[in-house]
Amino acid sequence: MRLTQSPVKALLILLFVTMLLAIYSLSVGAIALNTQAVVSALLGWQNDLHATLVVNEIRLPRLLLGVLVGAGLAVSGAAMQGLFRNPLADPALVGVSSGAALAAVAVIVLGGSVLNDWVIFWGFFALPFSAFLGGLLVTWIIYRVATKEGRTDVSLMLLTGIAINAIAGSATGVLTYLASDEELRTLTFWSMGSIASASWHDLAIASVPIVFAVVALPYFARPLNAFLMGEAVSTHMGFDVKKMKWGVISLTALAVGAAVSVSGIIGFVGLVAPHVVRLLLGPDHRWVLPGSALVGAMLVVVSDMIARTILAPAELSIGIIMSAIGGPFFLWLLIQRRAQSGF
Amino acid sequence: MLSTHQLNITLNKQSILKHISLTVEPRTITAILGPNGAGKSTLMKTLCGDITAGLEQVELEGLGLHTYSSLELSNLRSVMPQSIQLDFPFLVSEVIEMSLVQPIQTDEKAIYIERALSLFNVSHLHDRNYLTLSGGEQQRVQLARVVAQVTRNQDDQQRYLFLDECTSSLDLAHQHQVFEVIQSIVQSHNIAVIMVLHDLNLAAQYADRLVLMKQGRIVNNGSVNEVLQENTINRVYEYPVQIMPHPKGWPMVIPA
Repeated sequence: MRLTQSPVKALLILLFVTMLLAIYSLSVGAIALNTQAVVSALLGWQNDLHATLVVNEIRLPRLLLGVLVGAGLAVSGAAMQGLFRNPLADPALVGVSSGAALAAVAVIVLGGSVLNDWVIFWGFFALPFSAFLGGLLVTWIIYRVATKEGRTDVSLMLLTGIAINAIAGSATGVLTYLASDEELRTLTFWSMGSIASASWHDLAIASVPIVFAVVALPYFARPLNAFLMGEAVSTHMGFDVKKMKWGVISLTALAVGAAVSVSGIIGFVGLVAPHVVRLLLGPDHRWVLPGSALVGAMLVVVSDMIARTILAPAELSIGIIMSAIGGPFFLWLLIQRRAQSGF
Repeated sequence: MLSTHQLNITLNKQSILKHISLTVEPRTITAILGPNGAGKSTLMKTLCGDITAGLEQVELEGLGLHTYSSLELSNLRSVMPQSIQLDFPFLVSEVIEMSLVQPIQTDEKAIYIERALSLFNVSHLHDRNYLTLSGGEQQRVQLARVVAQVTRNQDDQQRYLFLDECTSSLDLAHQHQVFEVIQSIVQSHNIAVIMVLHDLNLAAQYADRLVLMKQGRIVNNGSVNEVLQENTINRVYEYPVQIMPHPKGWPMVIPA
């Protein structure tokens, strides 16, 4: 049933594979570079200035951003699935990403006018912090609507997600009418999801909140495990449920907000990655949370490689690739659940 | 000592429990009985601290339940609810392991899990996926988990075990095995058991004290022979019964 009995070893293997993939991805793109050129560019042996420029200024920030965004979204998906006690939660599906995106778009479009003071006050972090607040608000709404006495109704949760996606979508649509041409171009990227324009600046914005969430969420692994048997049961076992809930809700909103503010809405990472990890390592959050971060990073890095090579020299949006993978996967999950429930 | 005096619980503007006074003695098994909707489960939930409105009205070792953290409470009592819904494929051993709030060493953990499982004859399920077990097997695994939690410390502190319909999915033999195990840990570990039961005869055979409830009130509270009287049961259940002595001594309730 499980592919391994030794989770720690499996995590190390996942880490190793992620690193290999990452280095390989640096050699893939419009200009083909061999691994040797990539490694020497990374290590600063300046025998090929051109390669050094491509690797260090274009591909490396893009790779690192992909790793961050993938890890952030996947670990958030895994934690949300624990919080909602069902394996179909995903930040994009239930609307957390679109809530974060709406807040980020509002900051971009209205930053020069209505929200001027807000943007000046938060400066560099105005975008990710607003996205965090948007994500937090949506998570809280879904929890209030779909959860009663610690039990989440799956259909209510997914339907709330549809409603929130619709609301956030229309509000974002209105904002695009107010946007200038230049702002508009960045706006299309929100709805599709992309890490093509990754810069060291984006990395600086996203890294602190995402790394913090990825490191801090496993701290709630044991209470999350117990929580899967219900709110009352985990309280009886001695876990502080309230603390766990608020910790998980804020940390997921933090990671999703930061990811969305630099890459737009990339769906399904938070759905696919935790499932893959559960198949490998079982459902224990002590392994699922770090494992999801690694698998999520891999997923986004691979999707991004496909996005930039499949129609080269043109580029697809990474959101399209993730949906092409995640959509059928989601359908497969639903069919499986249907079979289980004997529907 | 666990006790409550003149406990009143109102949920959604409906009065569920009225003027409940109850003291749970050490090393006893108390069964809460009564017809559907009598408030049995609510009383049990209030006593174990699930119902916020009742926290200050229930005293444990002389202090209101609201003064304890959930961690402190978990060291003094464990609870088996009527049903547990789990949607993730944990192994049986992992379900037992969850009852350890503070992690322990790997070899001690293996012993802990094995002892819990063998108590309820489910050692063979150790590596099974919990989701693939039958209802009865799941119930015995959950029993193993809550009993492991309440017996994990070897000191002489008095502890409490709450069981809500804990044998509802078990066959005749397993029902009796479970109650025999519970009787034995009550003696060996200084544990008081508070359980909700529907089967009057199981209660008569295994409980030391019976609490008979109807419409949110305690109708009768006492020893098995005091509570199981024909006219009392007739009145409370509104159904005619006859009480006969079991060959081994305890009273048996049968339809008249």
